[in-house]
Amino acid sequence: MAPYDENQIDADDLVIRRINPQQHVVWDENRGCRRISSKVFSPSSGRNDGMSVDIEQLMLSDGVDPRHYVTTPVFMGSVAFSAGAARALGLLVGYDPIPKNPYHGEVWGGCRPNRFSRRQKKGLTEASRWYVELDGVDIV
Amino acid sequence: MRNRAQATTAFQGGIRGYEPTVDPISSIFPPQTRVRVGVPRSKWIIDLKDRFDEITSLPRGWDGYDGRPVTFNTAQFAANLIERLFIAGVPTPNVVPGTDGTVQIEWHRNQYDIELDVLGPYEIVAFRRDQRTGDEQELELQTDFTALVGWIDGLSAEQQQEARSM
Repeated sequence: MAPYDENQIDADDLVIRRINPQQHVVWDENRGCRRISSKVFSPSSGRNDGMSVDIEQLMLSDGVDPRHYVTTPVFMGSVAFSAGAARALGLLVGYDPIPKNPYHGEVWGGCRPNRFSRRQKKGLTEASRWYVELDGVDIV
Repeated sequence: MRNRAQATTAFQGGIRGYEPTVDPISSIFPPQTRVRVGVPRSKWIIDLKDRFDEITSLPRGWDGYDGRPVTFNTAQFAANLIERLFIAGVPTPNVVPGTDGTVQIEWHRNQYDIELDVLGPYEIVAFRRDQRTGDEQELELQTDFTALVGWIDGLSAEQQQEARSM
């Protein structure tokens, strides 16, 4: 899908990014904690690829419990940030429903859809809060 | 085992010892895949052997979306890079797969955050943050990885002691 910004996604709407605890968590000796890798906040590398997310409002509108939906498979954790926070970083947020996930969306880079700058990755990390928390893991 | 003095000469004039087409780094033994460094010498690669097998064998959708396993070529290159960057006394890095078959190598130690995002063979976005000064460096590297040697050297216990004594 070509990158675009969906005007039906409000600034306060939450965008969810799933976290695989076996793959996305690293040891940080500086901070003395286990934390999420910055690699989580990276788009795929195809020309128009973005970062896969789940759009909370779509699930709520369908009467679907978002926390249950994104915890599939059950080992997944997740973080969430507002669409407004992503846009403030120059990112685009849009719908990209797929057969296996009608609530699927994408976050695209502004200048280069498939590449987030360091500032954008850092900004997404700072804007993120746990949605489905992983015990003993920090976001930053 | 390579010492620091030897390590500072690594990669000058290209990646010496990296032979992507002839080095039997990878082969497939269904259902598991294996990433192999020709003659693994460093503790890092020995420590990461199972990890590389794991990230190249991830099932489609491993990230809850449409994530793919790390590609063979990328894993092979990353493993060789790790082997060439090895400095005794520096802990084994974290290895994090990307959704798109890429892989990130990272250390968070000695007040430095170092992240080497391996997007493919000879395609690296390297980042270092110095927590003491707030300085950040980001480099897009293709053939000359000399700068990384100095970065990794800064993670060593020896450098840690020097910083403490200042």
